Amino acid sequence: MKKESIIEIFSDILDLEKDIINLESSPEDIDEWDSLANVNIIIALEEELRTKFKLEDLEDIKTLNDFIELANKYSK
Amino acid sequence: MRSDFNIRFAKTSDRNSIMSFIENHWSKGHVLAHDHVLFDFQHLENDRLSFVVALDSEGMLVGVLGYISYGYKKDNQDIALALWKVIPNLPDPHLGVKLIHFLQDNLSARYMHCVGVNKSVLGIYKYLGFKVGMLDHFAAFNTSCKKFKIAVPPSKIKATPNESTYEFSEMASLDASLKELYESVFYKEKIPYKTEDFFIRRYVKHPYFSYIFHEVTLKDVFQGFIVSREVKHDGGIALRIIEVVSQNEKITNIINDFATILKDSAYEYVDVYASGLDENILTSKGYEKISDVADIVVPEYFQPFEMKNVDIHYVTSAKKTTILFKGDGDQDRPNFKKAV
Repeated sequence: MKKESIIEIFSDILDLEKDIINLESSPEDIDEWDSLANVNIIIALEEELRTKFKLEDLEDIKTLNDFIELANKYSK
Repeated sequence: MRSDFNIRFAKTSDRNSIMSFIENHWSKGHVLAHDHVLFDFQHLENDRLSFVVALDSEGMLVGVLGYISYGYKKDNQDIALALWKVIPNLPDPHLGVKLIHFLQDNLSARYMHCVGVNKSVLGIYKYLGFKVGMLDHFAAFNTSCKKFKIAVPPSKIKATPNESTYEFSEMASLDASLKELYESVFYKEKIPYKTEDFFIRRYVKHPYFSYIFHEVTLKDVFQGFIVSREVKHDGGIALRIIEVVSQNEKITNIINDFATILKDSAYEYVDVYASGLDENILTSKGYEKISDVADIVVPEYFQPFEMKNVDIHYVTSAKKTTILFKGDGDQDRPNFKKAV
């Protein structure tokens, strides 16, 4: 899955312009990134990748880049 | 803030921190942030509180998940989830979900459900595999009532049945009904299953509310019982069914027959919030289905009183048919701190 597609999903769900997010963006600096948004991002990525993430893989998600790495892991 | 959090069951010494957390991060003035009696009634279980808490590396409370055990001395129990909140802008966006997983992993729970779920978090529950829905709200109005002070009735009030298949006997206590209940075959398979201790504590020893108990029989054979509560406003009085304990297949007809209680009573109406009832049976006889768009108003909030209909959402992990009532979970409680 392309990095740009993940950023697109991310910005859509959080309703943010792409230029204000970066790979190190985290829930600490994005108010919109709450538990519900996080689940919605997970659901969207799972649907896109047609997979179901393991819980232990979700536990360490802290930044946008973590989501990209997670998606890459399940794309293989 | 570091991202490693300590998740554990709450100790009694966490009480003040949790109450402050509710005040600061959930809802200012919330009854559970101020009323120690109600807080302990709902969440004190011997030497611990029925909360899962998340603390940061400095020991500061950053998340809570309240629950109500239907039998905390019992393994494989059913539980109701209650207040669930994690503070925003934490480095771990999955912390809220981890609280639920902690409870699932560490409490030997059979089924979990929650009544009164905030609409905005239904998606999380759905993701976690819960079934989500909305309780149906039904009310039967008293045709003899001259002036409605609590509800706005339909322009044409349906006549309630004059005769009842089931018999209802008001009981001073729940003791006899509970004895029959635990000897019955049907209750062994009931979802949610509640222990005798739970029923006594929940309805007999409630610190603020007085409940009315009606034993239900059919030709002198025990069928279950109904828990109800009177609500009053502006000189008007009505009866709310809080819970009906019986075989699932019989509950709709029991509620239907229970509307006969309106005859010769001062009640404006009798209402019930529940999932899984047979709408066709209820509405073909004395009951109306209440919804936000209808002209009928049957209020939910009495402290303070609000003349509006309210939707109550629920979630359950049970896949089998489950009838949940307003009395399940923490919805039937005072909303504000009782004046001292």
